[in-house]
Amino acid sequence: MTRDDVGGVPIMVAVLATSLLVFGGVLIVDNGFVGAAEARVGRVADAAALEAAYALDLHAYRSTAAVGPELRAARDLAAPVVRRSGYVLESVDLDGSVVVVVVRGTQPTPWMSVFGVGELSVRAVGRARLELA
Amino acid sequence: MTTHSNLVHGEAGTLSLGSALVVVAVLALIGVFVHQGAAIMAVDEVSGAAFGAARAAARQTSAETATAAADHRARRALLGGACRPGSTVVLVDTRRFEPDVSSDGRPRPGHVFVRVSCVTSAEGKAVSASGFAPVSPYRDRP
Repeated sequence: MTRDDVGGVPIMVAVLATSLLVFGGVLIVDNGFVGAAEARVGRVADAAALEAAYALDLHAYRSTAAVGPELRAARDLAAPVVRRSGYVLESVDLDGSVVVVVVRGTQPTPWMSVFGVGELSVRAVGRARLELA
Repeated sequence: MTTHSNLVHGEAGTLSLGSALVVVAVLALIGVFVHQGAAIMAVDEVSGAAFGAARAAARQTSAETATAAADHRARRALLGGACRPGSTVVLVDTRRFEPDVSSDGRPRPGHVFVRVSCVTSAEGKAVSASGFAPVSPYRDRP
């Protein structure tokens, strides 16, 4: 066996180990970026859910079966606030007395862009209870 | 055939120039990754402080007390954390603090926007994050 040794370790092994370390580190760092972005989007989603809950006309909501117009109004109010934070309000729904909001955004992945993945999509769900209903 | 041109023999723990370079490169990479991790944690901490401050402000009854509450809450949240002491700047936007009613009679919540920035203690880098919270249009109700 021919061994171009690096301190007793074949070069191939050294290169492979270093490559694995680099690749693993890139994944860990960019996943950290994405995880932190998910936490930020989650905070935006929670605030947007509260916003939507406050924006619902509770009397109208209780007196009519047509929830659609109320949700549209809530969405119209919450969407610009979410956009100001740099994200997109995807949906506003009601689950019983809980407003469920989905917010979407993108997070740049500077290290993974070396492998052609420049950004990853980030989604978070925020909930707020209609306490005044 | 084995080549040991760079090896120093006869000592415990001998290291060739090549393997020393590999070790240094690996340590440098680990350093870069740890550095990036610290930056991520700092931004997350500042973001949490901004949203916490916005929520604290939104519970107040006037824009003036809301500004003071946001400032106090953000600084307290960052105390002893990733930010260099004295470097924290808190900007509070309470222009639309008061809730009102839209033209079609629907309640419209007010808003507090908070921007927190600081310089990290570890690397001396400026980081900033924004947060917001709605102000309840029902807060005056019994």
